[in-house]
Amino acid sequence: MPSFADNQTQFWIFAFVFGVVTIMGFAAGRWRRPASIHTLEEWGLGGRAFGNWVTFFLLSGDVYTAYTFVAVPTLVYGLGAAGFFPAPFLVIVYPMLFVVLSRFWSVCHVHGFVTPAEFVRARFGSRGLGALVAVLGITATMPYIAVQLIGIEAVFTVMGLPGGWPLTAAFVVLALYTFNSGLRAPALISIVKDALVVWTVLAAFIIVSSNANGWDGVFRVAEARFASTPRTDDGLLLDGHDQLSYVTLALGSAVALFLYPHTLTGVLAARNRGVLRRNLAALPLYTLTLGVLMLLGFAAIFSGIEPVGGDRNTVVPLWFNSAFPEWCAGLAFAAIGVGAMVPAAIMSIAAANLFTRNIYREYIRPDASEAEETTVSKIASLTVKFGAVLVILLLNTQFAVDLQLIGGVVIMQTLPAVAIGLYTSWLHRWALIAGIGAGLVAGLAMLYQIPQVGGPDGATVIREHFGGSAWPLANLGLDTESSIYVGVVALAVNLLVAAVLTPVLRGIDRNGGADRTRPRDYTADEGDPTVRRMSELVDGGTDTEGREHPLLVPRQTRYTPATTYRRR
Amino acid sequence: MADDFYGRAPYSRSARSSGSRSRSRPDRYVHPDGRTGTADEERPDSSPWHWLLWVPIVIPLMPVLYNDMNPRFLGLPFYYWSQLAFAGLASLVITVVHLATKDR
Repeated sequence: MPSFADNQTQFWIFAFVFGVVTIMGFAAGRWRRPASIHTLEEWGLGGRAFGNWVTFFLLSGDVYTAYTFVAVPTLVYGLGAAGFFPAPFLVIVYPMLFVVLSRFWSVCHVHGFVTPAEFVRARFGSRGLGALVAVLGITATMPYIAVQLIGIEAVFTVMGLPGGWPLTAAFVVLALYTFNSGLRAPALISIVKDALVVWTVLAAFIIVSSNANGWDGVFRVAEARFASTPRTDDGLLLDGHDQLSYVTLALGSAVALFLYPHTLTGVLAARNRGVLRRNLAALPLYTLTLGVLMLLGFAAIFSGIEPVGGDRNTVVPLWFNSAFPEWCAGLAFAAIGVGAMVPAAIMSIAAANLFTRNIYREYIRPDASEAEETTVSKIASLTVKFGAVLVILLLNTQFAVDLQLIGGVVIMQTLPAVAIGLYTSWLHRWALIAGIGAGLVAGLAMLYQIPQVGGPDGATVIREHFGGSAWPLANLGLDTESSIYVGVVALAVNLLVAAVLTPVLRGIDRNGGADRTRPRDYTADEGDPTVRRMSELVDGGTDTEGREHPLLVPRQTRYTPATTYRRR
Repeated sequence: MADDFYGRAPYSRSARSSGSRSRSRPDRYVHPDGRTGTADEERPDSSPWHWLLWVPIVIPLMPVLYNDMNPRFLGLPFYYWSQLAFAGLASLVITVVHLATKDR
């Protein structure tokens, strides 16, 4: 076990960065401060006014999390090629989002939606469906927050700290500044995070490249290691039958990433469509940093790293500690620590907004004022974070990982309502609900059938259920070793049920739900009279120099949907 | 009517605070059909350029294309460096499509 005495330099560097970040977190509340921060759009979306740079940091802070930095290289360390799937996943997701997200941004700004579930509610005229999407979003987000703690925990283990109180202290601080500053806190802090991550990645790349044989030597050692294991699913290249699960995992992860509420929160905070589109062009390049971190899995094999107490998440921090000078390892640890803080804050805000807008205001207090909404959201975000800490401390980390696995499958089921809903309102609301139900049942049934295998030969059954997300096609009676990502199959079931039931239900229930959106809502941009602008809310229809803005509608004449578009 | 639908419409806030009188006050953005909105009604957001986006989506999903050790680059097997290079490809394609469709 690593001892604290040997890692004091690392700890103090970590603590220093943590202190700086904490001060920034509280100061963020004053950043571009509006007249009142007590509205959900100010607290939960940073005033919907973030430009190119802030949006980039916010989205990269959101997508590339501490858990990614710790768990993904670990996959590569254990499996080689099959663990590299986040690389294609984080490439294909951006062209997909490029088209879809602009429409989402527009419709949400025209109507003032803060959550994807509010959009679904308006599009399909069903508050039940909206609430269902909200519940699925919260369910999928909570374990995602918990796994961020696993990233910090791994760093604490390597520094020789106990897991309990430092983890709790870190999250109390995080909870307080998020409570105080809302989305502005992670937006500001993610700048520090990205600087630390880029520094760490460059340092790592240079260190590995400059060893005697460079990357060539690293891969030679890794190849020999994989050849020496009795496992058949590891190696530097994919086996023929590993390809299906590789591809479906990449595809499914991309779909899930778009649907996670925290991604959409980051998107809604952008100032206009151009900001969003420029960011989607730049974000694939950030995948390179993740790529280098994944390759560190091989570097760890090369350096003969053995995980502390069998906890494979410690592999990457251990490699930093062995390869970097002490102060530099401290910065790398801080990168992981801050890398957990930023997404955890955004995720808890997204979950809290879902609760406030789609459950509290919908079912509990329809007359809630702006200030009350904000208070409820703040308290909900605290609850969510402490829930995550309790899961990690009282239950075990494996439980959080299992839940996150299920969470990915759960969030994918909202695709027909959210993503397809951006293009058509043809699907019937009850068919969507039935599809989600069928997809969840199918997904959970398949996950239940998957055992966790491990041990030296990679074939010993460690646990019988919920052990992974690759479902063997042999379960269908097919004579193949290939397996497929559960989420993709569950989503197919969902889409099939929704598509088959829609014409049937349309025959019975001709009116369906009323669609409250109009075609032009999906292409509106900043400056259009129908788009709600913060400058308008803050300055009362004048621009920054006090002139009345020609394109801004006075508040009271803001678009209110007077016409209801019936579907067909 | 809108308020019935939303329980409380998100945009009714200002109407409540400034009284209902202001709601009925005519404004210069009203359309002949009674709705407020932009002059150019619907800007199409589809474009033939969007087909180009399939390239960085489909290629990374075809491991047969890159599941190989050679050629190597900086000592990295083809499998690894090519998948990282796809990030550059995606960035390039999205930039081209963005610039081509920006002005609609």
